Parts: sequence; structure tokens; C-alpha cells
Amino acid sequence: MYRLLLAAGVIVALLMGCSDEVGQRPYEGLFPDPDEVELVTGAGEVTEYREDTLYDFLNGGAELYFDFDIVAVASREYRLPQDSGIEVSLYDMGESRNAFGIYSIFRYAGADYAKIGNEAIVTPATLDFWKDRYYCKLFAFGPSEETAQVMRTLGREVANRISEAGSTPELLSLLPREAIKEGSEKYFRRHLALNNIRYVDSENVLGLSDLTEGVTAEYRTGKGEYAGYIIRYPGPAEAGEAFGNYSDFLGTKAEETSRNGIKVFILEGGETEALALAGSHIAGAWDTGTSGLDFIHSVEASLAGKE
Amino acid sequence: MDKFDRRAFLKGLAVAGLAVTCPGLAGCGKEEKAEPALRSMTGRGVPDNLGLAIARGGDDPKKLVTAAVENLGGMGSFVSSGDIVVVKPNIGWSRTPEQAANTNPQVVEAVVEMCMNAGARQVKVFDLPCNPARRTYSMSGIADAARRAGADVSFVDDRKFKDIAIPEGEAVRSWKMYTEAFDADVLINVPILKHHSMARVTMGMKNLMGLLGGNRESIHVHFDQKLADINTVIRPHLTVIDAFRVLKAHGPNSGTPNDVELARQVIAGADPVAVDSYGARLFGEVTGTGLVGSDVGYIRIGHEMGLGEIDLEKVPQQHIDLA
Repeated sequence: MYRLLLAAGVIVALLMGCSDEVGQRPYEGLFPDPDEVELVTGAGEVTEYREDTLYDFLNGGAELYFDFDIVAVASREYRLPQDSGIEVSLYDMGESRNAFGIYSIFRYAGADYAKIGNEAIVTPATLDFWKDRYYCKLFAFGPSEETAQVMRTLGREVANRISEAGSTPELLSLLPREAIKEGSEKYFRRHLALNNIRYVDSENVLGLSDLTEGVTAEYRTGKGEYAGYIIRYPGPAEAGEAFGNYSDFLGTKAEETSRNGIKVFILEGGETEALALAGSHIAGAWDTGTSGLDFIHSVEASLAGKE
Repeated sequence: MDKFDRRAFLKGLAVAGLAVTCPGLAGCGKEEKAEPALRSMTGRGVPDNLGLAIARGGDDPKKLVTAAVENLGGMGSFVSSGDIVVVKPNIGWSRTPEQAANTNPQVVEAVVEMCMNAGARQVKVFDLPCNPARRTYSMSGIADAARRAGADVSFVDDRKFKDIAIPEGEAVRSWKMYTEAFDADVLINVPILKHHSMARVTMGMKNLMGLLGGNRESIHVHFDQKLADINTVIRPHLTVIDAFRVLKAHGPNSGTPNDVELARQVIAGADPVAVDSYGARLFGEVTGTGLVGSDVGYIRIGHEMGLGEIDLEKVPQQHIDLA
């Protein structure tokens, strides 16, 4: 019996040691070896940064990633001929909605999208994609047609090593699809991310927190363009409080009026913002004309009876 | 030395320093005292009420710099024969000039040339990048451009950071700063105007963070006040803002070609708050956001602390059109 317990103890200790080793370098397996990618001549080590070292990698840019609860980032540089190279940085955002969120900050209608991971944005020197809880940025030094080709290959290699796809935030489904500018949808959770999508204020006037989430999209109608947003709060009380506070905030700098039961604020310069409270949600539209009010009515109709 | 090694190196220095000063654990209780700035940068007389010079138009950033500085009285108003000058651009990221994450190399080249022509004995160019220094200096084009103009381009030496006292600081009373900047006769700040995901916009006052050592994370807590505090000690004689290309979004380093606006402007002045206030307003115009200096926390606090004038109505301005 004693020998059995001792053997069990040894096995457990060995397994713990193994998982410690795996735990210390959890991302290494997601990066291809240099000899697996044509034209790559070598690669550095995979370097990982976590909460206490993230600023060393991103400096002040780290704050935006913290807005989406980043867990860690792992980075590896691949060398190509003629002193060019590609840096691959894989951000573990903890959940797929966060990965989509940080990725979506960089989305825009008219971008060159590619089918790498769940979706990728490609420029001559960069490739961004998201898949499951990961957001991946590739950056080419000494961009050329050749490095662009290797960048896509590397992107696919990393994406293929991520086994699960994850899913987009459910809140996106509330965005009306009619007249939407494809590729403009974005997801946010907290104040800084929203300010990076559209600057609202230095203070958190919409009461965003780790319990809230929001989506925005741009629309083009025959009457003009506008941007719509939906923010979900933990409950009607929280949404109501935020709605009141934000209305007061807008009221300090805009003329308030009402159209079809929706508050409309006319700001200096003629810009407008419309917003409405719908249960646990605030729905709003920036630079709105009549079409923006249609957006809000559409969201209200979608939410009717759901709460 | 890449960032990771530098951090380990700094830790090793701290340990070594502790071992030298405190051979045994007992009696090791004295805190390292912050030093005053080694040489006051406010000692050099700069003409009062110079105001701002804003040059715009054309395709040549160097001509914009020359026009702006000449309209402030020329570089001779700031640099005397025999001076040692530090030119501090933004060389933060491994990005090309077209990506507008660093100062335009031609802007840096023009500033260095003007300093050399004014009789500077030595012009030093350096920054503390966020990406590996060797590649960042190269990709930005700044190292080559500055050397072409006669500058001594160097990587930051970790041994030259010292804890410097900030007597007027409200959120921070001392910070590790790069002493080579303080040893110079003249400091010229040459930032790029760009979006920043945390600070909203970055220009001159924020560019001085490249002279800071220490914990990058902690500087970002109560950031606006801390940045203003640090600007009470690091006082450039001249700020030249590169607004030839402006990164409108996804700063500090993730902009795409879609985010870059060719604004074709250079803003120069001796008042760091006024220069940044003008830059903020220009950023507001370029982005259509209506941003002004008082919307930016560190500019507003800098003004409140007496670092300069935020109200552009009170600042003389010369506009030079090179189009």
C-alpha cells in the first residue's frame, strides 16, 4: 500500500512538473518553426509579456489592451532575406469577444479583408486577424511583395494552430443590417476603447465598466451617413442611471429636443446625437438625421418583449 | 541590448548598487536621494514672447522646418557657437516614415543642419524606443538622416539614468531621467503629432517621456499630472512639431495608410504649452473632432502649473505658406 501511494505521489509530482513547464510557455506551440515557412531563414525565441511587463512591449498603448482584459502577448520575429523580417505578436485576450473587440478597433469599412483566422485586415506592411480568444498582429519590416506573401503564410500557419474558432459577441446581432457599411462593426466594453472608436469625453459619462458591453457600426443611407451604437448594461436600473447621466452631460453642451419620442441633442456646429433608453440598453446615433432615428426605432423593436 | 535584457540589466544594476552601498543587510536603510537636475535648462536665455511660427504647404518637410525656425529669429536665437545640443525626436517604433509613428527623418535632418550651421560643437540625437533600438533607429530613417546632417546618433545608455528631483511635482517628486539631456547646453524637442490610444494625442510634452527611465507602467497612473510634473524639470529651449504627416487614429503605433493625413505643417516655438495647444487644435481640425488644447489633460495642467500659455489668442503667431 505504501509503495502504491509513493508511486502515485511520484506520478503526480511528475505531472505537476510537466504542466508547470507547459504553463510557462503556453504559446510557443502556436508559432510555426522557421523551416516550416518558405523564404523564412530563421527566427528568434518566442518572448512572452504579461501584466507586469506588458508596458515594456506596448508602452502607453497597453492601456487599450487592458480595456479588453488582456492576459498575455507572445511575440516572435521571423527573418527573411535581405535583412527584412516579420514580427508576429499573438495577444491572448482571454475570451473571443475580447479578441474580436480589440481587433475591431482597427476595422473599417473599405479595408482589405482576407479569410485568415475568422477575419483578417491586410495592408502592405501589416496583417491583423482574430480567432477564438486570440488577436494576432503581423508586421513586416522591409515590406515587399515577397514579405507580404510570407506574412499571409505565417498568418495562416498561426491561425491553423488555434483549434477553436470562438464567436463574435452576441450583441452584434442587434445592429440593424439595412444600410450598414460592411466591415465597420466594432465592439467595446469600457471607456477607453469607446474613446478610441469615437471620443466621447475624458470622464466615463456613459458609466461603462467590466459589466457593460457595446457595439457600433456606420450606416450609409440615401439621406446621408451616421454611426449607431448600442450599449448593454447589467439591468434596467443601471441603464437608466447611465441614460440620465449621459443626457445631463450632453445637455450641458447641446440643445435638447425630441423627435418621435427620442432625445436629440444638437451640438455646436450642427452635429447631432440621438439616444433612447430601451430596458437594459441605450441605443444612440451620432451625426444622425432622420435615418439615425430609424436605427434607434429598429433597435427598440428588436428589444421589445425580450426584457 | 533589447528591452528584455535592458530590464534585467537595470535590475542587476540596482542590486549591484545596493551591494556596493550596503555590504550587509544590517544598516541598509538609506533611500537613494534624488538629485537636482544637473544643469538647469532654464538658465539659457531664450527670447521672450517669441510666439509660434507655423509653416505649411509644399512637399518638402525640410523647407517647412527652415521657414518656421527662421521666422522665430533663426536657430542662432537658441544655439550659440560651441554649444552641445540634444535633439530629441520621437524614435519610438519600428515603423517607416510613411506610417507616421515617429518623427519625419527630414524634419530631424533639418533641425540638426540648422544647429550645425549655428555653430554647435556637437549635436546629439537619441531616444528610448519601445521596439528594439537598432531596428527602430534604422526603419524610422532618423539615424541615417541625423548622421547625414552631422549629428552623433547613439542608443540610450542605461547607466546614464539618474533619479532627478521634481521639486514642483504634485503626483511625482522624482523620476529616473536621462542625464545626457541635462548635460547639454540646448535641448530641442522634435516630436511628431499623432493620435495616442491612451493620451488621445501626443506631441511635445509627451515626447519628453523618451528621456525617462524607471517603471513605464507606473508613469501611466495619474498620467496627465505626472507628465506635467516632469515637464517642470525637462525644459526644452525649442519645440518643433512635425505635422507633415499626422496619424489620426490607432496611435501610438498601429495606424494604417487609411489613418495617415498629409497635413504638411511644422509648428515651432519656445513655449511648450503653446506649441502643444496649437498642435492639439491642428489635430482637432485634421480629425474633425474639434479638439483644442484645453481638452488635453496634460496641456491644461501644464498651463495651470505655469509652464506656458494655453490660450492661443494670447500667443503671437506667424503663418508661413510655402504652397
